[in-house]
Amino acid sequence: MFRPSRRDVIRYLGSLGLASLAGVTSFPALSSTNSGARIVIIGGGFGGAACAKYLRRYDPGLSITLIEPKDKYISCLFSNSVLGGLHPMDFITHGYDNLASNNDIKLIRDQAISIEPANRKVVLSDRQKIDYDHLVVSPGIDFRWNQIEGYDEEVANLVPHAWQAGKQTELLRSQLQSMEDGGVVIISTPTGNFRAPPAPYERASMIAYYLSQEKPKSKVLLLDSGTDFDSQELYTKAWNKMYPGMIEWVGGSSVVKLDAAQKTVETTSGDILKGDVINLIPPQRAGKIAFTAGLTDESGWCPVNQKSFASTHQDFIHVIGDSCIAGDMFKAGSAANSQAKACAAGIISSLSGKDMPDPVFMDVFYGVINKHYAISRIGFYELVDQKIKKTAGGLSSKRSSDVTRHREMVYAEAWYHSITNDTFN
Amino acid sequence: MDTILRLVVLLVLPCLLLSVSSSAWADNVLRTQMLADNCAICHGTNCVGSLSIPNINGVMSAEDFLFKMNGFYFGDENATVMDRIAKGLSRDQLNDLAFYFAKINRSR
Repeated sequence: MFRPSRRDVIRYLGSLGLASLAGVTSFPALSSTNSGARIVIIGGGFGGAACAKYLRRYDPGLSITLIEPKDKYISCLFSNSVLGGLHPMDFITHGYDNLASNNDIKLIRDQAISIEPANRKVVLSDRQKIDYDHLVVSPGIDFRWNQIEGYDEEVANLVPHAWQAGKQTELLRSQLQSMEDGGVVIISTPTGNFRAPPAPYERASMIAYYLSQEKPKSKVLLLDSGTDFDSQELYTKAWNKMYPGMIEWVGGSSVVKLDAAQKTVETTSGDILKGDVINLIPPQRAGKIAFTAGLTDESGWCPVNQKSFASTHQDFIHVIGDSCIAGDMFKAGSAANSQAKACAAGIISSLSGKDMPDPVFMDVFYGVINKHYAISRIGFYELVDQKIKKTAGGLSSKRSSDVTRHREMVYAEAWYHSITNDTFN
Repeated sequence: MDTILRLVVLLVLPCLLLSVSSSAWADNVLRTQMLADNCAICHGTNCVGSLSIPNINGVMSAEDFLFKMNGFYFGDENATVMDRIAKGLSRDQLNDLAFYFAKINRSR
């Protein structure tokens, strides 16, 4: 069969002046069909906040309530650049007032402590119950504290994970600042699925960025539970150039035991290593409320219909963001934002008794390596046999010039500006 | 080339015209909206751009949009990420986005 190439078609359609068609064809707005339906969202991160906003954009008639106990959201995105000293904490801190007022969203500043799926109610910490027609659960991650001997929530006040941004980020930053020149910083990645798999390499870069200026005799030891990583060639090349001899990457090594008093870690291979600063990132699972509501499976994450994000365990509950099992997608703020939009479309379609169109998804990672140099990883995903499959995307080219790497850094900051506005405004 | 172009006119154009007829448009609204809202991850809400990332809301004709995306796809346009993204989009998706972005404002 004859198939003209995309270039032929696009060039030819262009030459026909089809653009003028667009001028006379109006693009209809989505209409309100579900007046008064009560949608409640638990969790105001990139998933929950974006879902609240896009539900409003897709249907002006809904009643939308967001339950989030924190006054402000502090994003993990760009928190590594705070560790590196590129930005202050304010840069990664976002309030909820604009989100609520711009999009007519009711904010409940309280903790959702449980869900009653049979009665369709959310229970708050003051025992008040909130009714819903559809519930979106976007609680992010929780840590599996029993996996590393000697490491628990309390000890994390001395040995930070900094894998939820905020006080933990400040703690790690202050430990780096008070470390002597010539010290060793140990970063350890977790086993199992975890939030932002490419982020440990950016973290090592940003810590090295800080050390190379202030404490150039220091070292970063990155203990990686994986035996390789997809951007390894890009990072290794950049590290050798910018931080020669400073970052040592050890693949296939994870921490089994911490001695917080001695500042030592024991690895799977039996080595005992001493760090002046230890950044120990523990294994992870879905946020607590996902467990109490019966939304998780044996993996510790939440299975969902990968088109609408409806829970496969509970009716009228959707799970998005890091807590859900979303096929090939990484656990990431951008992934949560993308899933939030499909979930919002799934809810309005369900309310009006329609089958929703197949969504596409994207996630975006920028890895900031120094002030003028960044790389990116793009994921483009579509539904294939009911599962989210990566169909395009990939890493920055290995052959790109330093000029392009610098442009990527400029775009990284613009991207952060865009995605936070798209989520919290 | 003439043969190719004639075939394009005969095979592709009627389909495209059909897809912009009003009922087909209406069915397609949510699909296109969901597709375009992924662009907002970098281009911002309503794709008005921010800092160095360009505004693509109502600033290009559908023709220019397709020409630009074609350039990203084939490497004729200077890109950091758009080359990788253009390769993820089908011809139908590109056409939908071209008409959508030529038109939208959504009050910015």
